[in-house]
Amino acid sequence: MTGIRVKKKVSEAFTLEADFSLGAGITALIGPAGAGKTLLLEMVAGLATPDEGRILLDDAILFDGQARVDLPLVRRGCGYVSQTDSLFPHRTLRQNLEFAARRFPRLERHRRVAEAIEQFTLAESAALRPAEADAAERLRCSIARALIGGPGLLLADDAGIDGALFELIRTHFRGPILMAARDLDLACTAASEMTLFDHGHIVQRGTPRTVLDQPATVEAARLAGYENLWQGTIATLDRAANLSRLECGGFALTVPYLPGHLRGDRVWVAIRAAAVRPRRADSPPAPNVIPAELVRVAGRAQSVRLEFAGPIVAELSLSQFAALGDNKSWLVEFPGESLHMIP
Amino acid sequence: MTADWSPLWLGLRVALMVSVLALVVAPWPAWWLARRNWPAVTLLARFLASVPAVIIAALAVPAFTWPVAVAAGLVRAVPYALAACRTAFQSLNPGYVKAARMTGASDLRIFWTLALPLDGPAALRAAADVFAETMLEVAVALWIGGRLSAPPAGAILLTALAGNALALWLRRETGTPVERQGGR
Repeated sequence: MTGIRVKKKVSEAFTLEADFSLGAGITALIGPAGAGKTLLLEMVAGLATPDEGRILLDDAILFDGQARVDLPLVRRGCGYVSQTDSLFPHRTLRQNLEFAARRFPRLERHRRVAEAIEQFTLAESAALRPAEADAAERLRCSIARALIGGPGLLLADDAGIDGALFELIRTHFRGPILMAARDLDLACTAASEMTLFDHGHIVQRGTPRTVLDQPATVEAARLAGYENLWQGTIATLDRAANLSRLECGGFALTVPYLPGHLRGDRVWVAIRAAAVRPRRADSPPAPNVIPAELVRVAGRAQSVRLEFAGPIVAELSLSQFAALGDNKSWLVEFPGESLHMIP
Repeated sequence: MTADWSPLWLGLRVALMVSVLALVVAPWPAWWLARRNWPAVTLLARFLASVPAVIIAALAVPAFTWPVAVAAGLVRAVPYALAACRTAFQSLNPGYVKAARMTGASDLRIFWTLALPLDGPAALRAAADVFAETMLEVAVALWIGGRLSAPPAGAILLTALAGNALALWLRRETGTPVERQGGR
């Protein structure tokens, strides 16, 4: 198995503590800047030392705090693609690859470099220095350099690798990949496992769909991109009618019966901006429709974001917004099926 | 009356030897110190780099010969070059060092293949500075001893200025690491 259990105290305020296993596929480590993703990856790579814990790769112990095992970097069998451009600027892309393959005998080294150049389509840029190559070539070369030693695990630290590039990596590298990212879409496209990570701790784990659709905590919902999060008090619980009524500050919501709760309990309600439906004030009445005051309209590349007092955030497609654009007074609807309750 | 040019030759010999020796001696310990935070060592280096050791030696040692001057010059030059190289090595992109370490490169290998090629010009700049300052120091030491006439003094001053100019030129040509690496 491949598992990571580490603890490291960085400062009085920040302690990183993580315990999880890695599947054979791509695991996305999602969290904001400063969450500790890079540090976690560096501890696995051997660039940083945990205070305690155990790191296993394919049942081989890379690090064990108690047994005082701390394998040197090159024997760990980890490839590492860093967040920033780290190709040596005074060497050509080919020389960068040769540097990484230096520990192999000459013929083997040439074979590996040639193979890497072919696999990552670097033939045209192999003689260029990083500053002369374009960003995509540099990234492919960084990946090729990380893979040239034949690692058992690839660590990719928010390096800007996109879905297509992950597919390319997958055709040449079958081992597990642990990638740190901030992009939820990329995690959904590429990863088979997702770990939400914040303040040095794992917030939630699971398949990307499960994590995104069923956030277990408020932090998870925030990291999973739920823009609307309100705390509400349960005002009514009606099991027979399968209804609960939540008082959320300025408005009330009707949701399905919440088992295991009492009246007066506080729960969190989460809904994605894209699921909120703004309407004209003269539209027919419906459940969970409340009047709202529009505060700001922000255009985006493919959508329009409406911010209402509350705060309530809604996201409309351009055509939806065009149909509503001249509206002055607004209602917003929260469709029941899109509301997520978080205890 | 022909001028006595021996002070110029002494200055040149001492300054060249001191700067070459500083260039050879300083970079490796500087690289080693660059990844450690030892304020005491840094402070000591700063202090030594500001001591006019050649002048002190000229006043204290009765037989002020060139080996004495070189030894005294090194007292100041090595810490100066050490501090300058350390600062330059500290600015080396940590991403490069991590990438090199991931491939199993040793400290010495990283020094040779990354630190020196990328930040080596800092050592050259420091050597040019050392050359100019040592020239001036020798001149002052000889002048205090009453062994310096105007013509060699002028020549020494010009040579020191040339050293300074070389340091400035190197600074402009090799630039800061940020300017050097941000080539896109």
